[in-house]
Amino acid sequence: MIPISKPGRSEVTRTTAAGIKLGLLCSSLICLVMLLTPTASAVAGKELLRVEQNQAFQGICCFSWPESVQVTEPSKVMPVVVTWSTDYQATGPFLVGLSVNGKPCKFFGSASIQPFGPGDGSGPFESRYFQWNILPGDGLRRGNNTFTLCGGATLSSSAVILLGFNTLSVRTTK
Amino acid sequence: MKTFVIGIALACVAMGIATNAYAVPPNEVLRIETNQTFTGACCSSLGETVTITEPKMVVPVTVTFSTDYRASGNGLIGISVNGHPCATEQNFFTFAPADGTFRSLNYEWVVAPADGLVRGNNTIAVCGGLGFGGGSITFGFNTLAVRISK
Repeated sequence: MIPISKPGRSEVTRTTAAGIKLGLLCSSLICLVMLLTPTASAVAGKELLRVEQNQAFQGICCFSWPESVQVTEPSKVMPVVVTWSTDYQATGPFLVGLSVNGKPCKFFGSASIQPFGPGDGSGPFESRYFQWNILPGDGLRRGNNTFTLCGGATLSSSAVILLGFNTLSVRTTK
Repeated sequence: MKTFVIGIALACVAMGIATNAYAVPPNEVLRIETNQTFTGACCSSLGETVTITEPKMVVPVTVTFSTDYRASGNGLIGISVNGHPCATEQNFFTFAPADGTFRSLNYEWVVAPADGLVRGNNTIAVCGGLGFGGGSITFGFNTLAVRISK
């Protein structure tokens, strides 16, 4: 039988200390990466969208328009502000709103788009800017949240809206 | 090395706690989902307010007001900072088509420290009213938000 030598008290202490040190070092490295990450992406790419081609939509409100942004909410869900800025032509009055996480289209603030131009891209465009404040009770949840444009004509199913260059953004940070 | 590691760890803890503070506090945004009609001459409070907390060194804030409206006359919309008189008014124009539709408007104001901002809590209210011709303005759904500059 080979005698097993028990480690001395100082050896145990040394081992524990080394373990803690290693743990702290690993945590620190992870944190360092975290600290550096916000600098590289102060605004996450998925929070911004820029569309540089005309898109036409026709139909009575409300249906989905294929423009979405996403934002990650912390564990304590807080309000977010979504802004949409666009050039357009419209042959009738339209409404525009948002679908939050796939829920039905809703108007979270101003929504009206008045007729302007022929709707075929010829001639000048009008511009509009909308700001929508989305509150936790509107269906926001911890983690990933998706905001999709939606809308449609208010009076005539044959009315056309032609969106020009436009931007959609969502922000949670100051 | 040990001090460095502990320092980084503490910074991370602080960062974790601070994450929630970065989100938009509820009192900095307001959303109204009922129509409101105003008839008075400019300028009086239009009943919409947001608040923001300024740090020790007061910095500018940006206020944005986005609304649908119908108006039977021309008028002005501005903001009142901490109860000061209505200022920085911008125009709105008659818009009252028979089909009942609204038009959207968006205003942005940059408020400097000299405009009455103070350290701590600040209240910013929408104000305005009709011009000399009288009439009324009806706000549809609208949002008001204030954002501090970095």
